[in-house]
Amino acid sequence: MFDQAVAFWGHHLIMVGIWLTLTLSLNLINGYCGLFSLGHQGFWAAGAYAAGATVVFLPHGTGLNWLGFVLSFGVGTFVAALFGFLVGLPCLRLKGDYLAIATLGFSEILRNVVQNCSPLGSSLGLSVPNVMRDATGKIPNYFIYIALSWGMAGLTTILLRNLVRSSHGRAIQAIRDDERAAELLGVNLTSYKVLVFTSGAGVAGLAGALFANYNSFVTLEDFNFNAGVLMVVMVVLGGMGDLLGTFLATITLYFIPVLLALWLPATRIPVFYDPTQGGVVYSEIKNLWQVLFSVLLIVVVLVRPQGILKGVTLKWPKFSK
Amino acid sequence: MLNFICYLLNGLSLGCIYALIAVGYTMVYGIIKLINFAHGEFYMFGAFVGYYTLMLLFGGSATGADVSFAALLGAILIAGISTGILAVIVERIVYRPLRKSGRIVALLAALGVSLLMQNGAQQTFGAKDRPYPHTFTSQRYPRMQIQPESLVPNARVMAERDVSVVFTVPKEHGRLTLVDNVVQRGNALDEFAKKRLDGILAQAKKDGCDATVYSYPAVTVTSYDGLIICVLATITLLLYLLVQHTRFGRAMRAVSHDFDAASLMGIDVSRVITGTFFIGAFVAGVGGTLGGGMYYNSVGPLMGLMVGLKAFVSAVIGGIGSIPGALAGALLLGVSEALVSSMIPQGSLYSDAFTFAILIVMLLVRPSGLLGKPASDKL
Amino acid sequence: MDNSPASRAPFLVAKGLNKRFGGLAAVTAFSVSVDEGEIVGLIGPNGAGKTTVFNLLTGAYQPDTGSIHVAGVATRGLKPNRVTALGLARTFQNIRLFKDMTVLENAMTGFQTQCKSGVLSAVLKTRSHRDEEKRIRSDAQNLLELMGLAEKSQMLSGNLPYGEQRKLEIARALAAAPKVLLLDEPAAGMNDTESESLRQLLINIQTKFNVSLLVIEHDMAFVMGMVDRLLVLDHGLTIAEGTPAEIRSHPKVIEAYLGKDYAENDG
Repeated sequence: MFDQAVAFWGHHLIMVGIWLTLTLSLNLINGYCGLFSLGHQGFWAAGAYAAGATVVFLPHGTGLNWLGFVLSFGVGTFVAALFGFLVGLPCLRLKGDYLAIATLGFSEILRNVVQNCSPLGSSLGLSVPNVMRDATGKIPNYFIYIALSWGMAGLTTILLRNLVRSSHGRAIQAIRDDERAAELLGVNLTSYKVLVFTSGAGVAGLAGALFANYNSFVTLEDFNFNAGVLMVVMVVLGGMGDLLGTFLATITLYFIPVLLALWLPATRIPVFYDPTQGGVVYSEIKNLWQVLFSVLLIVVVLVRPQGILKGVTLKWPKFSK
Repeated sequence: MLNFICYLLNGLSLGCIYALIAVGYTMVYGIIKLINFAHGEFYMFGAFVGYYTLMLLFGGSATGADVSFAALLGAILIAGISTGILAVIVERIVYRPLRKSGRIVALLAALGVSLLMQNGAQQTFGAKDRPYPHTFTSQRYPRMQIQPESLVPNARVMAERDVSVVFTVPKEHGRLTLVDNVVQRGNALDEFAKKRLDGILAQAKKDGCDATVYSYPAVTVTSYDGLIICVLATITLLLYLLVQHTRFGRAMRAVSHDFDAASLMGIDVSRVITGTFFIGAFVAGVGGTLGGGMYYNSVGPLMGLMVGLKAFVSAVIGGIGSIPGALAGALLLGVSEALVSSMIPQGSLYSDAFTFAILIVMLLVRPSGLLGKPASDKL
Repeated sequence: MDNSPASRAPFLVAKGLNKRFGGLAAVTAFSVSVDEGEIVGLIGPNGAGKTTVFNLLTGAYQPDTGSIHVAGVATRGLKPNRVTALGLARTFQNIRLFKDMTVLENAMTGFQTQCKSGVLSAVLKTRSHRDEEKRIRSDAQNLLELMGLAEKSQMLSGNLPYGEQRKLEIARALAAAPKVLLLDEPAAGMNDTESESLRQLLINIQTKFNVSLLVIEHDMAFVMGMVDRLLVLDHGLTIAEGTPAEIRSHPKVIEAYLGKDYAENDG
C-alpha cells in the first residue's frame, strides 16, 4: 500500500519537476522573448533521445552504465541546445504564427527522422537501462529522482529569474514588446534570439535527459504535438513571462488530469447511440477525463484569456536575503 | 511512363484532399488572422457524418453491396452542411468572444477545440479506425487481407507484382499514429521494410491490438481519383463565383483587406465571419467524406491531425489568405509527396519530413507564399 | 577621439540618400550634416519623407544609393543596433515604449549599449554584474528625474499619460548616450504650455549632455524657436535649407508647403 502510494505520487512529483523545467524554459522563448514556438516538444525529445543513446551506446563493462548516466545529462543538454541553435538561426526572420508553424515543422521533421532510425528504436521506442533503480532494475529510486527533478526545476527558476532581471533580460523583453524599437536602442536581435532559442532548448534537453533516465524508456508518443500544445497552454495561462504564474499553471494543469483519472468513478454511462456498433455505446466516466480537460481548457481561455494570474497581485517569495 | 502518370494522378488526388482542407484554413486566416487548428477535426467530423449517412440513411455497408452514386453525392452534401453548422457553432461559442483578445489566445482556443473534438470523437466513436461503406467496389483496387502470421508466405504472392503494403495498427491507448505505412515499391519487401513490419506487428501483438496488413498494387488509378478531381474542380468554380461575383464575396474581400475599415463601411463583419466559417468547414466536410473516408477507406477520430497539418502547410506554401494559393500549394504538395514516395527509395518513410522541409524552406525564402502578398514591415 | 580626423568633420554626415518603395520615390538626393551641439529641424508636409530619412539614418532602412557617416564610420549596411552604438539615438512618431515594462525598466533598457557584463555573469549574479546594474539603475533614475518622471518610475509605461510617454521615450533615447538625438515629432499631441516646457527641456538637454538634435516637427512655432538650421522636404525632395528666418521668407517653401495657412496661423 505504502509502496504503491510512493510509486504513484513519486512518479507524478518527478514528472511535475520535469514539466516545470519544460515550461520555464519555454517561458523564456515564448513568454519573455515573445518568440511563439510550438516545437518545444522537439527539443525535449532531442535531449531525451541523445541522453538515452549515451546510456545505451557508451561502451561500458557488465552492469549498469554509471558513466553514461552522468554524461547523459550533459549530452542531452548539448544536443538539444545545438538543435535550438540550428532552429533559431533560420527562424530569426519569422514572427508570430509563421514562427510557430516553422518550429512545429522542425519538431515534426525530427520526429519523422527518429521514427525511421532503427538504432533509436524507430517507432517502437528506445529502452534506456539505467542506474538509480532497485535490484530488479524495474523500480526507480523515487526519492533520488524527485530530488533531481525538483533540483533541476529550482535551479532553472533561479537562473531564469536572474537572467530576466538583468540587462540581458530587459533586452529580451524589449524584443518581445517592440522588436524594432529594441534594435534601435542597440539591442542585437540576432544574438539575443539565438541565445534564447539555444538556452531554452538546452534546458528542455536537460529535462529530456532526466526523463529518459527516470522512465528508462522513451518513445515518440511521449513527445507528440499534444504535449507541445500543453506546454504552450501552461505558459500562456500562467501569464506569459510570469514565473510564479508558470509554476501555478504547470502544477494545476498537470494534476487536473491525474486527479480526474483518479477520482472519477468507473461507472459506465451511455455516451452515444450507434446502430453500426450494435446500439448504445457506453464509456466509463473515468475515461472521460480527457474530454473534461479539453472543455476546461477552452473555458479557462474564454474566461481569463490574459492568463490565470494577470491582474492579481501576488508577491514572489523572497529566497535570498 | 505509364507508372509516372499514375503517380502524378495519385498525387493530384492527394493534393485535392489537402486542397479541400486548405481552402478553409486560408479563408478563415484571411478574414480573422486565426490559424484554426480545429480545421483538421472538421474534416474528421465530416468523414463521420458521411459514414453514418451512408450506413444508416442509404443502407451502405463495409462488406456488402455498393451504394448508388446519388446516395454518395447525398452523403457528401449532408456531411458538408453538418460540418459547416458545427463550425458556425464553434465560432459563435469559442472564437467570437476572443476576437479582441489577440492572436495567440485565439490560437490556444483553436488548439483546445481541436483537442476536445479528438477526445470527444475517441469516446463516442471509439479509438479504432473503421472501414468506410462500399461505394465503388467493382473498381476498388484488388485488396486482400493477410494475417500477421501469414506475412512471409504471402510475400511471395506479392512478389509477382508491383506492390505496396499498408497496414493499420489500431491502438486502444496511445493517441497518435493509428495508421502506419510501409510502402514498398518493386518486387518484394526489402530487408528494411520487412524488419519494420515485423517489429510493429510484434509490438501490436504485445499491446493486444489487431494488426491488419493490406496489400495492393502500388499504382492504381480508380474512379475515386476522377471523382475527387471533379469535386475539387466544381468547388473551385463555385468558390470563384462566390468570391468574385456575389455581394457576400465582395464583403468577404473587404473584411479580409481591412477588418476595421470594412466594419466602418457598414459591412456586417460578424455575418461575413460566420459565412466564411460555414463555407470553409463545408468544404472540409466534403473532403472528409470523399478523401478521408472513400479514398483511404478508413475513418477514425485522429484522421484529421496529420492531414490537417499538411493542408495548413499547403495554405502557407500557397500564401496564406489566398484561395488560389491554397489550391496551388495543396496540389503542389500532393504531387511532390506522391513523387517522392514512389520515385525515391524509402521516400515514403520520409514524406512528413519532406513536407515540413518544404514548408520551412518556403517560409525562409518567400514567407508570403507563392501567391500571397508580401507583408510590409511598417515603422 | 577628439584629435582623430573623423571628429573634426561633422558628427553625422549623410550624402545623396535615395530610397524608393516600389515605384514611389520616398527620399531623393537627401543630404544633411549635423555638427556637435547643433539643433537642426526637418519639416515638410505629411508624406514628405521625413520619417523615412530617420529610418535611413538609423539603419532601420538601407538607402538605395548614398552614403552615411556617423563619427567618421560609414554605416551603410550596418544593423541599427550598431549605428546606435556609434552615437545615434531616436524617438518615434507613434510612441514605441515597451508597454509591459515599468517606466524605470524602459529607461534602463536604453543603457543597452553600455552594458558590458556577459550573460553568464548575469545568470550567476556576479559582483561586477550587480555593480553595473546598480550604476545603470541610478543613472536611469537621474534621467527620469530630469524628465520629471521620477515619481512614476514603478508605473507600467503604457499607463503614463501621452505627454509623459513622449518624455520617457526621450529619456530612453538619452540613456544610449548619443552624440546626435533624432526626435520624431516630440511635441505631437501636446498643448501650448506642454510643448513650451518641452522646448525648454530640450534646449537644457542639448547643453547639459552636449548632444546635437535633429528634430522633425509639425508645430512651426515649436521648431522655429529652437533650431539653428532647417531643412524642408516635399515629396522626398529637399526644397529649402537655411536659418528659420530664411525659411520663413523662402518663396518655394511658402508656395509648396506653408501656403496661406501658415501666414494666417503663425505669421
